[in-house]
Amino acid sequence: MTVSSQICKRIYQADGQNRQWAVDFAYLSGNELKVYVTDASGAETDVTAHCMWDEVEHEMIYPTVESEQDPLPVGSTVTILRVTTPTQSLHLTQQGTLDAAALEGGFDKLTLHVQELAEQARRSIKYPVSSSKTDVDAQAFLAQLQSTQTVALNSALESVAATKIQLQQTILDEQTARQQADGELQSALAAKQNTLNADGQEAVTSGINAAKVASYDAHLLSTRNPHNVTKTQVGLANVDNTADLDKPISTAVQIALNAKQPVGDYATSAALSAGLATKQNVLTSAQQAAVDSGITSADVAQVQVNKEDIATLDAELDEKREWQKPADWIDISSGAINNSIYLLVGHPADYSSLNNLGFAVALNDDTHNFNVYIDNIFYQTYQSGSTVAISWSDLALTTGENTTFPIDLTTHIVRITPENNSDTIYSYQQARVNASSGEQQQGVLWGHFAVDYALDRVRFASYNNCYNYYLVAVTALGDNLHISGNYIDNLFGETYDRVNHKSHYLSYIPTIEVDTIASWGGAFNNAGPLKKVRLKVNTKIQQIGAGNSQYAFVGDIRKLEINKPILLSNRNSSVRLFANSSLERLPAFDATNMVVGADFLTNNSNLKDTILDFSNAKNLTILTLYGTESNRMDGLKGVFVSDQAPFNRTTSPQLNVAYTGMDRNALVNLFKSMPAVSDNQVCNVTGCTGAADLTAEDLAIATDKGWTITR
Amino acid sequence: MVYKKIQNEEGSYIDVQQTRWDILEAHEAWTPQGKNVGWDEFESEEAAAKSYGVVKQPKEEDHE
Repeated sequence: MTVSSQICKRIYQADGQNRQWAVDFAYLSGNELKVYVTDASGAETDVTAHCMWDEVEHEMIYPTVESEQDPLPVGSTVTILRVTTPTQSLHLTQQGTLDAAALEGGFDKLTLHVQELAEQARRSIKYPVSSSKTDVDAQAFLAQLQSTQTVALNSALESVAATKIQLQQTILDEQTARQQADGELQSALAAKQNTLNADGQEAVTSGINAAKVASYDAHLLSTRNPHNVTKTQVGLANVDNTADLDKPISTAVQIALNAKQPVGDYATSAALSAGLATKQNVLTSAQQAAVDSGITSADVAQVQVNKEDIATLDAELDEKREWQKPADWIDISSGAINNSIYLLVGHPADYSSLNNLGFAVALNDDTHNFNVYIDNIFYQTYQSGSTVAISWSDLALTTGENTTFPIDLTTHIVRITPENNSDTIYSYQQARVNASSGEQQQGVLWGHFAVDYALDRVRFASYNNCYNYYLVAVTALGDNLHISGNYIDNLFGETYDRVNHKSHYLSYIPTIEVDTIASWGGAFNNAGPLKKVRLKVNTKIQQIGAGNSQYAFVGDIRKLEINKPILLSNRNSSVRLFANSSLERLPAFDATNMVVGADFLTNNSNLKDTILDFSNAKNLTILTLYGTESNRMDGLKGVFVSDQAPFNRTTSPQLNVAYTGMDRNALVNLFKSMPAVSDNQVCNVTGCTGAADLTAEDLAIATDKGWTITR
Repeated sequence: MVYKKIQNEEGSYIDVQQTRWDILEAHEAWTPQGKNVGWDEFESEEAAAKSYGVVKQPKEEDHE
């Protein structure tokens, strides 16, 4: 070949895509080509061993696809350099064949060598052509060059270090200066704190942009949520902004409502009572068990409600119902002989311990007589005013009639009739016939007054434990017993309350007609289950208390129907007038002359809302109206007294309204009505509904007037 | 509780001189002189009676 080109090296710029690098200069073999890669920093790497020579295309391939390397990036170069092996393989012999091609090949190789050496020389640092420097000089030059380079580098490093130190100092100085400035500023601020005078403050304020001040003030007063605060931010995320009336009911309320009995058509109490009456005692045991097991608590509650309704209806019916004698009693009112008093009396089988039946009868004419009959058989004649004592053995001389009510007894009829039909019976009174004191239980079950005139006095009880324990009823012609005297004390009750000494069975009495009443002590005291008393007063109620009037209504009497107000006495017998009673309402009364009101009304838990006014009782010395902790009298809602009443009774408290339903207002009104006192009188308000609510000012209303208030 | 002995011819308590008294009892007594002034504090009415030197002897009620 000919070697017409002097090129033995090519340098290519990588483009990030090309892997093939052409060799367009002469070469003897692909093995005599070297490939160098120079990266962007100038680092040169011999990659000849990693290249692939394409003999056909005269290309060097790098990086190969098989290497999985990316093509060389932009900024790097590929240098392909021919490095011919410096060997000579031509061998010519004397007189041998001269191979022209071999000879040319030798010359080609030498030419290639020369070109490569020239290429190297061109890359060398050379002295100028005219220089006489030797290689020793070159070494010295290089050493000097290196020394100069080192000195310059060291100098530069020293300069950099010095500059760094200088900068550090500058920074330190700056920090120090700033700290000092901050300290001075704090000192200046501290010196200025709270030292602004009004002018200074105004100057500061005036220095503030007026518009900003106005804006700030407006912002403070703004009620239009300038910061767009949401309800979630203030913890009201669950609030629904609808009116209460428009809100639906809660799920819990709906569930509770669903559990309630729906509106519907239910049996009335009367119908239920009637139905129950027909079913009473008709269930077999099995049926009862089935009923019991099927009864729910709601059923029981409903039954209780119905029972209460029935009880109410029964009570109303009782009031309207005429008394009906027990079926096995002799009817002493039917076919009764006029101008007579009938007594149905009874004794148990063993009457040996019974006291004699005793009563006293007086006629309009003391000189005349009356007859006593037992079971319509004449017994004895007595003079008017006599006390009749009949032994039970005498009563038992006749067969009598047996009864089971109120207990097993044998009953007999005792009739009292004036000997002369023109005479009238003046009085009938139970009487002691065995001893002057001690318990004497009589045996009257029923008393019937077949008279059409007034008796002066009637008593079914006597003083000191002489009473009719089994008295059930008292009847009279026209259902009206007229008593012309002023006294109805012990009419049906015993004299005073003693445990176990009371009539348990009195259920019915006629209307008691009186011209006036001066004394009614114990008249209806513990008169059994009797619920109502009817008093018909023809003229006026004289001063109750002229005689003994205490404990008239002890027991279960709920209603007192009286057609005239009661004038309370100036004596001491307003004492206990309504003590231990069960009256729902007190009768109207006039307290003008009232002096002593000790235990006037006590322990009445049935009292309905009542306000008692004693403001005209200017002579009142004591007034006690109270319940107990276990038996409150909450129906008493108010009391007024006179501001002129002396309240000077020695018994204390002089005023007692303990355990009543008087609230704070009622107590304050009482205090205001109370007079000024001077002997440390006591007003007891313990247990009143409003006692605990009284303020110091409230109490002072009374204490300023000399009262002591206890609670 | 606070208590006060009050002379009362109808009282329920009696002393050695046969003078009758009542013993008033209250949680608190507001007097013109102040709260509980003139009243004594005891554990019980019995304790008060013992301190006051009186014994309980209710008077018989007077009837006709």
